[in-house]
Amino acid sequence: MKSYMLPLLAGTVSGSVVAVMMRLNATLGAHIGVLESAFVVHLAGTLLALVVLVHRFNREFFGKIRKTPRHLFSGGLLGIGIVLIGNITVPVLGMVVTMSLFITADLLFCTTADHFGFFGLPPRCITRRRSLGLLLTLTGLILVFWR
Amino acid sequence: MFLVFILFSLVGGTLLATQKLLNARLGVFVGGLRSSFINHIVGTLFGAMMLLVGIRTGVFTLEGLPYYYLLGGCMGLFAVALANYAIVCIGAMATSIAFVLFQLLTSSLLDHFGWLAADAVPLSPLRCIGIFLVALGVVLASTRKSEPILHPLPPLQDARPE
Repeated sequence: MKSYMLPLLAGTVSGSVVAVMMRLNATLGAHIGVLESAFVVHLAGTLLALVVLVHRFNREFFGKIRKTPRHLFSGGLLGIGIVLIGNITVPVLGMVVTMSLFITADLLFCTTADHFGFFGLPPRCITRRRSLGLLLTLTGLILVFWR
Repeated sequence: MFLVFILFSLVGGTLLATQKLLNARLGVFVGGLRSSFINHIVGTLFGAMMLLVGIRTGVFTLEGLPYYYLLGGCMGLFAVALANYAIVCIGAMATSIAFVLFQLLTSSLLDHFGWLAADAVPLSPLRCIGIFLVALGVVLASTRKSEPILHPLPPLQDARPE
């Protein structure tokens, strides 16, 4: 097994899980409101994490947290911000256009971040092969969201 | 006016990518699942703050809420943890393309059979071709050929000088 197969599998499973999750959350959002549903969903995730990780909250964990740069904790803030932005744009642009724009911007920013190694993650240069992969993906996205 | 909303969406997508990268970096320090936990607890607190400040998008009730909607959050916890692991190993771009591929596949499947939604949208040939192209993109973006050797991540004690 090649070294990239397992991480790739993790990425694909994550995508499938998020697709199911988005269905559930969309229905929930239609019932009680988008921000409220984001709150409920984050709360559910937190509670599950508290149960799963109960034996891992030791001195070592808090020591690590103390040493970690604070700006890395802002992922959750961005999550709520994304929900609010989606709430503004979806009624005007529609779900399909919003999603394709989100994914496009996401892929382009990920490629840039990979190339320059943003946030201290290991850099991966844009090669001809990888840019061809990105181009094919964006073309495929246009076809999928055509109708 | 339309352009402003398009710009908003693009900013949203960039934030999405930033969130993934931040969580992945945090995962290097504290572990993938615990990074996901921190992401969720910060999101909960910030969401609660927004609701308390008075920003509302609907009517908040927990009455008559089927329990399986809470499953969405439980799934999200593991989705973020898996993405954290993948991003550190194969890079954010390859992870995102693989992520998008299976998101599209799964939603097409759900659409085709009408699961979790009211109306079924059958799988069109155009959609199949599009998904195939995305799959090709995954193969090209993730298999490493002529890629530079990764330099190791800076160790934890260098992260924040006292």
